[in-house]
Amino acid sequence: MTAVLRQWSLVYKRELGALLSLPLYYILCGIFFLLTSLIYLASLAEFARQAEGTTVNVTDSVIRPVFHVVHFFLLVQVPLLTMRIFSEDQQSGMLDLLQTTPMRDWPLLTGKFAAMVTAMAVYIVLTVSFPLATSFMGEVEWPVVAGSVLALLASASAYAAVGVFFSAVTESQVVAAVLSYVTLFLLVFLQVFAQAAGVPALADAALHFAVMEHLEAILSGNIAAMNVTYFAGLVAVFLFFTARRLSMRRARA
Amino acid sequence: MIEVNGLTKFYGPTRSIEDLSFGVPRGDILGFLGPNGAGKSTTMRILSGISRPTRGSARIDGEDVQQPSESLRRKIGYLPENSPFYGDMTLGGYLRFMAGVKGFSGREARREMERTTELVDLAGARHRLVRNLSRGMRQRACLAQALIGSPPVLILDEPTVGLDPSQINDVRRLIRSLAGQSTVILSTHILPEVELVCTRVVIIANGRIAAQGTPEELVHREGGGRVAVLVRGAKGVFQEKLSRWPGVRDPEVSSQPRMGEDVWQALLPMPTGKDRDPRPELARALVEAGLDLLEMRPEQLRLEDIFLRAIGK
Repeated sequence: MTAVLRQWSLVYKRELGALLSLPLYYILCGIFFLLTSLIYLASLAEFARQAEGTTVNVTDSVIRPVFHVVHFFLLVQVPLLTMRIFSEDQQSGMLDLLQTTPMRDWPLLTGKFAAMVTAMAVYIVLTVSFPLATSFMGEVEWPVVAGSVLALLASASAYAAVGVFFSAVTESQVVAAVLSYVTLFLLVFLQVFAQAAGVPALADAALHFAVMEHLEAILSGNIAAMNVTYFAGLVAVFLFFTARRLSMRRARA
Repeated sequence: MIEVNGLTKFYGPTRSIEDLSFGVPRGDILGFLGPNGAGKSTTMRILSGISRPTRGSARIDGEDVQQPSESLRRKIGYLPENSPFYGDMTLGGYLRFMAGVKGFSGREARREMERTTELVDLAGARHRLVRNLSRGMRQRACLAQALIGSPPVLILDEPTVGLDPSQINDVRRLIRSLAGQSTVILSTHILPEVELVCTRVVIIANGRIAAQGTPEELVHREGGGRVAVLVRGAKGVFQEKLSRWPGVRDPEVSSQPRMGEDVWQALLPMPTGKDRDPRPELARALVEAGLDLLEMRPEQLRLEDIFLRAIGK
């Protein structure tokens, strides 16, 4: 194993260990899983009432809406888990210490980011239990489920990158979380704001940059390269900003 | 090994350090001495590459610390001011992590962890969570982190803060034992630390260098020590005999009421090496003049006097 890879895996393991030992992680996952379960049960009951004698598809009327709910909860969850990722190290002085070692900033930040994505992936995989449970009652379209999981992973990664960046910007975890929320809500609801502005050209342009547009596309089974690239691009841009921020720290400190 | 030239750092309009210049030869232990807020940590942070100076330069082993290469960073062990750590890791895990980050493979990292915990006397605490260690233990844990890989340059920001007296002794002994193999720069506001550990001293006050040299040089430059002479008898006769002391024209004589009504003390400059020692002659003259010579003792000028003089107190 090369030195850089070893450093990366050390940071990844240490960060994942830290995340998985956070009570907050389990509290958030627990609460949101519970809420999603309730919504799932409610929509399942509604489906059972409506479906009698009709040909309504369980994937469309139960699974898809549930994954939308999971996505919304990820949006709430991710900034709360990323806020400490660099802020804590800045405050304790650990980041200074790490920046005096031969390790570069890239393995540090991508290691932390990957740990965060892994922690979210564990949660996302758990939510597959909803279609799994449904499959005992009716026909589930598994390709749609796979697409939804991919969409959730892609969006969670993008949100994590935004959260990681703002955590590197400030020593304060609260400020990091607030800045992440503002940015994420802007990104997610961009087209809503653009439409409200009443300029059609602006609304069209906003469509290309709005998270929901690309997310809906993947959620409805359209895993086009364009949509996946959009999330990969968000990740790349915010990780690049984080790297810039980390190297600028030295100049300012 | 370490060369600092005209180092200046401003935080906004506030000056932290200005125009610091000093050098540390290979294998020396430099004590960076100054009152709190004098700019010690700022200098240490610049040397370790975390912070950039507003002006001036610092070089370690010929390389500018502002653009540290990987190989330069490998040469430096740094103990920051507030000994940071990952509290959720065990001491052994934390040190293995730091060793890995510094480029050691799994097996080497374990060996370095074992070696450094032995050095700082924490071998028994390897399986404890760092957050549960006492402050002194955490300080030593962070020192162990700096010692990973036996780096040729050690930058230690107040290495004995938070330790109990016996641990302070151990850490000082450890640092002293590094002399010759590592070049050490340690900051402190504790004077005896410098006297006991360091081969060179830089005293800074208000961000500027107030004095520098080896402890002996500093004492010598400030006029060396003094000779205290204590007699019982007539003050006038005493003063007259003292005027023969080289370099003394109008000797100041103070009464010592605690020792008796007619007991007098004079403080004379210690004669330097090349002069003939005037002490035997003075002793004879005093006794012949009928004075009781009670004491004639050297009074070493201590680093503390120099420090207080240097920082203007």
